[in-house]
Order: sequence, then C-alpha cells, then structure tokens
Amino acid sequence: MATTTTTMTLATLELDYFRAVSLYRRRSYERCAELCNALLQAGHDGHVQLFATKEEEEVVDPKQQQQQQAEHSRFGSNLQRIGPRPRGAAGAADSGASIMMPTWLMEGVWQLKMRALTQRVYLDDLEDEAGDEATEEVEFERIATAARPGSSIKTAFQPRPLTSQRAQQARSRGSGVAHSSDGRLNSSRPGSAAVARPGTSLSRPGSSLGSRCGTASRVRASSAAAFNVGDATSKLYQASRLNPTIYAERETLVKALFQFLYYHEADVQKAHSLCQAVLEVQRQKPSGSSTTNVAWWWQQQMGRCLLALHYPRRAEPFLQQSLASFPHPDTYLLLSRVYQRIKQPEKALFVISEVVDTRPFDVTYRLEQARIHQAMEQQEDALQLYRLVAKLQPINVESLASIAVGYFYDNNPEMALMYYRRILSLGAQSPELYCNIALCCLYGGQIDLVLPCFQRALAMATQPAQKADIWYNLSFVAVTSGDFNLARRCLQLCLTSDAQNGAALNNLAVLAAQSGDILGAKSYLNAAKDVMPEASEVTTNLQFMDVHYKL
Amino acid sequence: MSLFNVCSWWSAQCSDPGEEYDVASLLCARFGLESQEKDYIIVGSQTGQLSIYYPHRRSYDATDLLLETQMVAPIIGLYAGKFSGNVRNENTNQLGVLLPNAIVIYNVLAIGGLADHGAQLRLQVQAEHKFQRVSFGLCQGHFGQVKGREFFCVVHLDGTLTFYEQDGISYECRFPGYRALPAPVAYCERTDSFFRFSATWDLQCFSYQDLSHSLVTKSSYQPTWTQCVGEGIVDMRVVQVKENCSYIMILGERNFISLDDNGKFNFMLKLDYAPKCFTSFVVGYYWEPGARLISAIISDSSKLHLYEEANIIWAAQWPNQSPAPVAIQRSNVQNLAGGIVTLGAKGQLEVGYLGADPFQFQVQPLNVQELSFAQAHKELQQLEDEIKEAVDVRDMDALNQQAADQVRLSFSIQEEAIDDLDTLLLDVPADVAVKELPSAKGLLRCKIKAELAELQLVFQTPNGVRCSQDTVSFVDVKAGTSKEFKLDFYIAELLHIHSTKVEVVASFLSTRGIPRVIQQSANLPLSMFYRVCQPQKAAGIKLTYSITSRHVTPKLAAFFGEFLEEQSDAHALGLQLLCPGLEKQSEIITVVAAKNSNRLRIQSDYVETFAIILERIVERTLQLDSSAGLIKMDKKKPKRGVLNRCVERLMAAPFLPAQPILHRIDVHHETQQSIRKQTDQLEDLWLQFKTLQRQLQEQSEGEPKEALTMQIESNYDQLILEGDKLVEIRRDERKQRCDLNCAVALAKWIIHALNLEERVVNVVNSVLSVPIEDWTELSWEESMAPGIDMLHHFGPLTRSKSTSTHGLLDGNAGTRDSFDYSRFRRHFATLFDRIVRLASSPVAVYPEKTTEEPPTEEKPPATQQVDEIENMQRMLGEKGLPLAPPKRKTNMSSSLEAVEDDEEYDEEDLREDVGYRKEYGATDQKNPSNKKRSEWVNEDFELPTTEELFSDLGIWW
Repeated sequence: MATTTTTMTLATLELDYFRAVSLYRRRSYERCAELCNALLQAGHDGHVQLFATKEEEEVVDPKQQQQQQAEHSRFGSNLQRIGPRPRGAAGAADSGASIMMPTWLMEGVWQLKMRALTQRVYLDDLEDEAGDEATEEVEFERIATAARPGSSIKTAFQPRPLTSQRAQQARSRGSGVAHSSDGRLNSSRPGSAAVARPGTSLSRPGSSLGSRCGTASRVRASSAAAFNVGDATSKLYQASRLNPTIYAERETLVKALFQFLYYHEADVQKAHSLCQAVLEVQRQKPSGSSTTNVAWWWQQQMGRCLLALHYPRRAEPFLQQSLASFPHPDTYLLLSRVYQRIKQPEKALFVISEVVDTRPFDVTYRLEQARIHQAMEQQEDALQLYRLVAKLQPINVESLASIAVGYFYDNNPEMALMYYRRILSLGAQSPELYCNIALCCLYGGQIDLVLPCFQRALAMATQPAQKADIWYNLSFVAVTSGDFNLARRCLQLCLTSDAQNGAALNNLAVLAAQSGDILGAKSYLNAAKDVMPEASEVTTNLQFMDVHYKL
Repeated sequence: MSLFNVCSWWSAQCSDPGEEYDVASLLCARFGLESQEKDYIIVGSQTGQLSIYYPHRRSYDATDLLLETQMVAPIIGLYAGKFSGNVRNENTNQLGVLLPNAIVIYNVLAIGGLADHGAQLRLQVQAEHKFQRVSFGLCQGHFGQVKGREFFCVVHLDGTLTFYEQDGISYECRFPGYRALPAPVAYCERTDSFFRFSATWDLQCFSYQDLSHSLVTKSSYQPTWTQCVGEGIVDMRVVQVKENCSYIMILGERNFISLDDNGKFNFMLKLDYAPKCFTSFVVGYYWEPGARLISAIISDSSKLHLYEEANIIWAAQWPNQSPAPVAIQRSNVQNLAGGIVTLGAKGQLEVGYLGADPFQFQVQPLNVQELSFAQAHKELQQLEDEIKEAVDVRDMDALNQQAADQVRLSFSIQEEAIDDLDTLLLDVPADVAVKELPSAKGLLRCKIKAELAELQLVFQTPNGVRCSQDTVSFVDVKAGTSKEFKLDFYIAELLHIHSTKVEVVASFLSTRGIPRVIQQSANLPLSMFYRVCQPQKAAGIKLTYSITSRHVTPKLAAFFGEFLEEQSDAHALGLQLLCPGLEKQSEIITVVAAKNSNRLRIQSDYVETFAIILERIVERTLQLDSSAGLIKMDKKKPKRGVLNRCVERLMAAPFLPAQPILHRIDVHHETQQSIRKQTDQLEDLWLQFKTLQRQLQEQSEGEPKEALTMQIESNYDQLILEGDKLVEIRRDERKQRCDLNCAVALAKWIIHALNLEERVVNVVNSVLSVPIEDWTELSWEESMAPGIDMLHHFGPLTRSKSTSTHGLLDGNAGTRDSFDYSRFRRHFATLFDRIVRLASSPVAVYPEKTTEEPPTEEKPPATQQVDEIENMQRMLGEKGLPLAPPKRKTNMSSSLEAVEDDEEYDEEDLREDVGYRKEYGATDQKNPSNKKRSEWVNEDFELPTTEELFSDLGIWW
C-alpha cells in the first residue's frame, strides 16, 4: 500500500469495497468474504476501531468524532475491537503518513462480510423443519448456495431423518461447490411400508426413520465456523462474546446480526436473547411513528426463535401480534408450525385458510395446507391440494412427488411411476428419484427396469447416506425374489455406509431370526433399539422374541 | 426444473472473460441514431472494457460489434438518457458511464460502414463530472417532473448522493438516518420521489423536494413513508403500471415484493429458490387497460421464472448449466421483439427467447459394459470386503488385527526410574512433591495408516499414579500421520498402589463411522515404588511360589532387574514401599529364593506390599516362559476340566491370607457406612437450614430476628463442620479403597497360579476384578454380593449337589432389599476357604507329574488328565455332566452311564444351542443334530441344571 496520497489509497479501498458489494449482489459469497477479509485486515493494520461510536449521528468531523469516542467509550469497550486503541493524538498524527480507513468503511465491510457469511449458508428453516413428525416419509430439501454448515439449530429442530442432502452437504463442506437448485428435491422413498414381509410374522420393518444421531450430526457440530479456519479476522465474529443489550441499540446492524446468529452460527439461544433485548429497547422508547412498522419483524423473529427452542406456546402470541401488524408469509407459516407443534392442526388450517382466501393462487400456502392435511393423515384432502399445487405451478416437484407417494402407497405403483417420470423429465435427476422409480417398477411388475434403475441410483449416489438408502431398498428386491442371503448382504452394505440405520438393523434381525441365528437377531434388535428407541417395529419384534424365544 | 428451455437466438462473449460483470454492467438502450432504430446492447466490465453490440439476425456476426473501447477506470454502471440539454434531436439519448470517481456523459455517433465493413459507433465526451467519493450507482429520471431531459444523481458508497441537475449544477446531500450497506436508489416519476432501502431493512420514500433542499437544513426531514421489508434486497425497480399508480418491485433475498408508490403492499411472494436478478416490465401501455405487469426472475440455478403479478406463468431452463446470469433485461433487438438479454458473470452475453422448444431431458445412457465374470467377481469381492470390514463381527481377532494395523501403537516405559521430575510443571500436590518420589518416562508412538474421523487416546494408570497426559483426541486424522508422545508417569497421591500396569486405549472412528478399540499396556518399573532395604527374617504373611517352568531360573535377579545386577546371586531381597511412606511403619517385603529348590518365598507383615511384587513374579515368569517359546498360551476358550495352564510354569502354594483381606474389606465397609451416616446427618442439617431460612423470610418486619439469626449461624457452622468431616472421611475412603485394591489383587495373583481347574480360576479372577469401584448408591460390597453369592451356590465351587437349585434360585432371583454384610463376609470367607481346599487337594500328586511330563506338550495325555479330572469332578461335587469327559473308573457315583467316548467335549456345539426354543420350530427340524441334543436339554429335568443355567445365561468358563 505504498501509494502516494491518502485520497488515492482511500479510493482503492473504496473500490475494493465496491467490488465486495458487487460480488455480494451476484451471490459470490465466498469470494466476497475473502475480499472483506483482506479489507478487514488492512483496517486492522491501520488500527481502525469498529463501532467505537454510538450511532446516534454519524460524524464527519474527526474532532467531533474523537470527542464522541471519549463519551461513548463504555460502549466501545464491550464491542469487538481489533488491535489496540491508538486512536488518540498519535492515531491522528500518523494518519497523515499512512492510509486511514474510515470507520464507516470498516463497519460496512464488517457488516457485508457478516451478511455474506449468512447468505452463504442460509437455509430456510421453514422448509427445513416442515413437519417435525418423525413418521414423515417425504423429504424436501432446499439447498443453500453453499455447503450447509453444521449447526445446533438442526438438533434443536429434531431434523428430519432420511437421506438428506443437508447431511451430505455438511460432509462436503470444504468443497464449496455452489450447489443449488430450484424447487424442492424430493428424496421420498416409498420404502417397505406397504409391503408385507414374507416369511416372518414380524411387523413391517418400516423405512428408515429415526434421527441420525451418528456421524452426520457430529460433522454438523463442527459448524459453519469451519469456513473461517485460518481466517485472521474471524475473531471479529465471535458470537459467544456478543452482548445482546449493547447491540440491541444499533438498529443498523441488529437485524443482520440476528440473521447471522440464527442462520450462520445457529445459536438460537443467543439470537433469542438478542430479540428480547431489542423488544425491550423498543418498549422503552417513546412510541415513534415507525415502531409498529418495525416491531412486526422482531416479533416474527421472536416467534421463530421460540419455536426453534421448542416453546411453541410462548411463540404464539408474538406471531399473532406480528401478524396483526403485518401479514408476512413467513409469519403465517410459522404460526401454522406452532399450531402443528402443539397438536392443533385445525387451528393451523384455519390460519392458513385465512391467507389463502386473500391469495388463493399462492402455492406456498397451498403446500402448507397440504402438508397439514398430510400430517393429519387426511390423505385425500392432502392429495387434492397437491394436485391443485401441481396445477398452479406445474414445476412444483414437492407436489408431484407427494402425489406419486400417495399413489404408491395406494397400491398403484404404475401411476406413481408416471409422476416420478414426470419429475425425471423436469431434469431433477437424483439417486433417490431413481431409487423410487426402481421401487415403483418392482411393485408394478416391470421387473426388467428394476435393476438398471438401482444401478443408476448406485452409480449416482455419492454420499454414504444415499448409498445406505439404496442398499436398504435393494434388500427389498432381494426379499421379494426370495433371496434372503442377498437381502442380508444388501442390508449389511447399507450398514456399511450408515452404521446407524435402525431399519436395516431391524430387518437384518428378522432375517437372522429367520435363518435361526436367534442370538444374532437379538443383538441386531438391541442395536436397532439403540438407534431408534421409539420405533414400534423394533419394540414389537423385541417383545415377540421375549415371548417366543428363550434367551 | 422445467419442461422448457430458454432458446438462444444470439450470443457473444464479451472481451473480458474474467468474472468482472455484474447487474449494472448490462444496458439495453437506444441512442436515436436512426429512424428504425432497435436496441443496442451495451456492456461494461469492471476492468473498464466497454462494448456496444447491435444484433442483426440470429447468431452472432462480427459486424454486430459496433464499438469496443477501454476505459481508464472500472466501469461501475452504464446508463442512457437525455442527460444533456443541447441536443437537436429529441430522441437522442446520451450514454452515461459511471466510473469510480467520475461520471462521463458521451454522445454516441454512428459512422456508416463501407461495403462489407459494418457500421461503427464512436463516443464523444459530452461532459465529465468528477467527484471525490467512490460511486456505487446512479439514479436517473425527470426529477422535479422536468420535461425533455433527465437529471441524475450518483449514489456513493458511503451513502451520500450527488445530484447533477443541469450541466454544471450539482450539489450533495445525504439521506437521514444511519448509513446502510450500499443499495440501489430508485426514482418514481409519478410521485416525484426517491425510494431508498435503509439500514434497518425498511423501504423509505423521500420526496425530491425534501432531498433537494436538504443541504441547507441537514437531516431535518422525514421520509414520506416507511415500510419494513424485513430482509436484504437484491435489486429494486419502479414500474408504472397504471395512469395513477406505479409499482415498486423489490427482489428480496427470500421474497419477491411489490408495493405501490404509496407504500401499500401489493403482494409478497415467498420464493422457493435463491433469486439472482430480475427485471419487471409492462406489456402493453400503462395508460391503456389490459396492461400486464410481468416480472422475470432468474434463480441461482439458471432458471427463468416469469410471473404475471405474483402468479407464475412460465418457467424455463438455460440449457447449458453454467452459472446463472447476473443481469437480465428485456429488449427489442432487430428482428426479435421482446428478447431476453442476459449477461453472465464472465461476460457471456445472450439474447434468448421463450418458445415451446421442449427441454428434452435425456437420461444419460448407463454404459454398463458386458458383464465379465472376473469383473463381477471382483466387484462382489469388494462389496464382501466392505461388509466384512464394517459389520461382520464374527471374526473378532481379525477385526482387532485389522484395527491394530490401522492404528499402530507402540508403547513403552523406560526401565529406570528417574528422580528429577518437574513437580511444579506437572502440578504434583505439595505433600507428594516433598517426598521426591521417583518417576518414570514413557513413550507412545502412534502411526495411523487409514484415514480416521476421530481418534482418542486414553492413558489408564492405577490409582495414585498419574500420567502427564490423560486423554488426547484428534478429529479428521489423515492417513499416514504419525504421532509421538513423551509421557511422564509419577505418583500424585500417597496411596498404596496395586499394579504397575499402565494401559493405553486407542479408540477411533473410521470415516464411515465404524468404531474400533485397541489397547496396549506396559509396566512401570518397580523402583518407582520400592527401595532396597535389609531383608526381614520373619513376617506375618508368607507366600510360596514354585517355578515349574524349565525355562525360568528361579533367581531373584531375573525378576527384580531394577534392584539386582544380572549376575547377582543374592537369594534374599528386602524391599520397602516408598509410596505412602508413613513414618510409623516401614512396609517391608522380603523375597527369598530357595537355594536348592525352585521356590520363591515372599513374606511381609503388610498385605499392601504384595500386589505389585506378585504381579511382577507371575507376569515375568509367564513372559520369560513364553519368550522361550515352547508352550504357547493359546487363546482358545478354556475347556471344561482343563487345569490351570499357568501351573505348568508357576504354582502358588495354596494359601490365601484371608483374614487380612477380610479385614481390609471390613474397614472399607465401615467407612462406607460412616459416609452414609455422615451424608444423612448433613441432609438433616440441610433441611434444618432450609427451614430456618424460610422462617427468616416469612418473618414480618417488626419481629425481632436475633434468635433466629443465631440459630441459623450455629446451624451453618455445624453444617460446615459436618461437611468438612465428610470430606475427611471420603479421603479416608479413598485410601482404604486402594488398600482393598491391593488386598484383592493379592488374592487374585495367588489364585491365578493355583492348581485349579482353569475355568474356576478364570471365573474367580473375573469376580475379583481390580480396581474396585464404589458408587454413590452402591458400595463395592453390595455390587459384589450377587456375584459371590452366585459363586457360592452355583458353578464349580458349589459345596454339594444336595443344595437344591430350586429354592436358592428363587431366593436369589428376588431382589433382596437389604444388603446383609455379614452374609457377604461369610460367603467371601468360605469362598477363599473352598478355593484353598480345592487347590491343596491335588497338589500332592500334580507337581511331580507335570515335571515328569515333557513340558513341550500342549496337553498332558488324555489318560492322565482323566484321572485328574475325575478327582476334580468328585471334588467339585457337581452332578454328573451330561457330556463330561470320559469316565473310565467304575467306582464313580455318577447316576449317568459313562460315555465311552474318548473325544473331548466340543464346546462349540453347545454354544450354538444357546437360546434354544421352547417350542421346537422349523429350525430344529432342519438340523437333525439339534434334535439329539435337545433330548437332554429338557426331557429329564424340569428345571435346567446349573450347568445349563449357566450356559443359558451365557456365562462361560
């Protein structure tokens, strides 16, 4: 930075800032963050102090600025700060010699990087969470522009099981491949359920449910912060050191900060306390003209946090208030989730139907309606709605897949196959889809297509969880054709990829029992019990063994 | 995902192929150069390249590029409008190029082409405005509803605005409120107001009047209205849709939002994809009815979504899955009205159209080669290997072997003890540090051959000894890494130590989540715990071991290399325990080697001194013997009736110092009792304390509090006092637990070398496991009681067959509420007693026999063994075993007929039958051999024999 004049260098810095903003708006979040890092480092070298001033009025006059700093140093002391504070006379003196990055620029860069980091991993929690019913068969995944980081939020949400891209993304975090898609990728597996297991009196094995508490979550736990490894400026973003009450006053930042905490750091607790602090500040303020206008946002976020923290009843009033002042789509969905969580799906339907009346063609709400119906096990109504969605938005994969699943479990695999092929022709190729097609073929009698489809699925599957699912489903082909030995191998391969697959363990137990290895069966069942303690199949099987075998 | 494609009509690659383009880099505009003019496409890169294209027909032609020039500075934005007043033609537009520190207004001039050379454009600088602050964008329009020309204002990065109203007239102003991240500013002509996205994620509307006067009275004005958008925005546009209404279209980061110009929300559409850029336009004329507001949004995965208001009407996919375009415009180019012009981040310029060209999704053919047998076999083998590696647990040895291959541990401890330990660094308590006890150094090398997700190393030391590192964890270990740890082992508490063994346990998870555990152990040098002293002549407890192995010379130097020279002929060695180092007593143990026989005598007054010495003697003997390599202690499951194989190398005289051991147990038990008592007492005091506190709170203001306060204080003092006592007792308990450890270990080492049936040794040793543990709810005695009880009533140590299994089983099965210590003690004593008796009976015969036998043989010949076993049987008093080894002698009292079969009973058979079914199902019929066995299982006896019971419980010895 050996440029001649201060203005010149300032201009370069500003130009870099512009570039960072430009990268941000074309969604190159990683490069944006890198550029921000460089800028922050430069600011660090120049001893620029972040957020030393209270933001009542941004100051142009440096004299005044210093004065304010002195006044408000108590705010400064608690905020993250880089380096020492030579900002007194000495700082002013040497600013002539070297470049001085203006504070506003530094703060802008700081905020920009925070936004970029947030956007990079943003994943709509509403989509993600949809239907926390453990028995949910269908899975929809929205994919962020980058690898999903690990986050405790996921565990807070009781993540949906199954083949999740989420988990895969977590594993491939280093890769940074911008992996994105429209609509929802469907990985529903019409597994075993409808099919009676031959040869055993045991109940159906069920498709793989149970939360994946094993490796994936462990990887997830290493958090989005992994991206920051080796980043010297990462200490500027330590959420743990953040004091909510101080930031609550900074309207400029606080919303971005909230999203950073909630989506990037996945620290719902902290985000919640930030919400509380902000609402407190707003309450104390004399009600200005804009307060009601702004408050809905915070109430919505409050509701979001409380829902994520499993306090649906406390979330409800906040969301209701928020809805009263502004009809944001997220608020409707959140409120619907709240009612579903507290087992009042009727009320959820009512809330949604309110907004559906005003916006009858918005598929967002229609889908929500359909999901609620599905959760209430009103398959017909749900399918009706899914059909409506498919009519309103023919490219909606979720609705197509749900209709297909409906047909599949209605013992109509041929129709299901049609829908799956439609999804395929939309270009949504995925191993799960091939797996589903193969299963439809299997039960629809198109035996010649079954193995090629599975082959394709296996060839495409890259993630262990996907492989596990495919092998698991392949075991049904083997069972259907009576080759129990093959079935056992398939299940073992499933376990090879995912040692925590409860359904596979359960089925393996059944196969072991069938071949006479009672002790083996018992130990498999116990393992399955460990993985999914609440699965009824496993419990029933264990009871069956207790009754009929002497162990 | 869509069934349709965006069809490409015309495409070009801009001159700079780097990632230098952004949403403001694309402009479609007319300059009024000719009458039938269509749109020019202007592209400016952030490296300063400016190009103007004029597509003529389908697919790119060299003559389509009309101008290419390099600017001095990056181009931040491109704009066209009537920026100048002095133009004759009212259709003429000027091109505004926004550079970081200037805005340059160009007149665009056309130069007609000659023959094949196409037309060209030339830029003529019309005006240039420089500014100090770096610009971010530009907002243009008929500010103040001026006619015939457009004003513009430059938005700077720091949020200030510079207005240029007429040529040369300019002023700066700022929006009130906090500085936001740079975001576009939009101007609405209908209401003559500006829209700004504020730092608090609100959309604010400012009238031009206010802004233009703001420089005089700074920030004294308020926005006309504010609406909270609640998310960051990607882009913003103002579209006039009706005579009396304009819409502000905002592409948020999650929603697509439309407001009218009065700040009323029109719609808010939740997007289920990540939007990248958008354009909104009106089809038709806004002053006519039937004008349609269309928006095109491009998603991050290159899909174009067309909306009419908020309803989707079309979706199409760009056929090449390249990164999505960063800018989109709708434009009327020559021969194509309403073309979709897009610009990629790397300068891919494309004019496309929608069309019913179906998006043909072709499933890639799966090129499955002709299946060759070898190939398939190989693949199958690979899958089988995977299974074997991950889930098949039948072959544990192979698995462990494999695990040991994956993580190679080599763990060693130096033979010499060291005196210069850095007690400060290692945080040794002062009372220990004062004694300046020796320490030992160890080295752990760890080579990782396979990639691991997690690796944890745990060092397990006996109580009182500490390692400088106790747990080390690694995450994501690369294959091929090797690690080395230098370890210090030192005494950290003044306790009796029962073992010198230090274990390293490495547990790891492979990348696929398969867990494995391997462990290694090494022994600490004895010189850490003892020092040489004068041997004692007599002592309270005397033990004798005879070394029966031929490969071990019964010389003390072989066993105690730390204290004796290798050539030393010393026959007696006195060792004094260093560790608790009490002043009153010196705990001395003496080891004497007999001069003429192969016996070792170990004697001491203190039980605690033995454990380590015995451990050393037994292990060293076995080790020396197996290193001679003639008899292998194979790891086969011990067979019924086989004698303790240890005896072939080393045999202990059948004597157990039962009284001292029981005494240790008594002491331990008493302490446990007193801990419980003390805890109860504390609990009482605590309750009292709480009550008093409550009283204090409930007392009203006026009442005197002195009495209560005094009570509370005395109660508190007592509470502290009793708490201290508890701490004291706990410390005592720890000491006693270690003493008991030593005592139990002593018994264990003796039994280990007793002349007993091997399974008896194993079972008893597994019951007497060290170190012992106390839990808060359950003391060691209580946890041991069922095991001892079991040994007492069932199994090989049962006194007589007359004890009916019925009653005892029932009595045992019921959970006994109260723990009967005296009963436990009695059982313990009789257990020792019986072991000693069992061991002493055959001793007279056995040692001579084994010494006569060539020790190379794995087992003594069958006939002799039979004798032994029959003796054993009788002594064990077990009911005749159904498939017991052959019984030749007829004077047996067994009720069963002797089985004339020399073959040894194969335990594997029985094992498969574990968990036999009550109803004989299909499996039994399948396997005819099962039937035979099932006869004895349940036909003769109503209840299974103890033996069966044990096998059913899965207990094996």
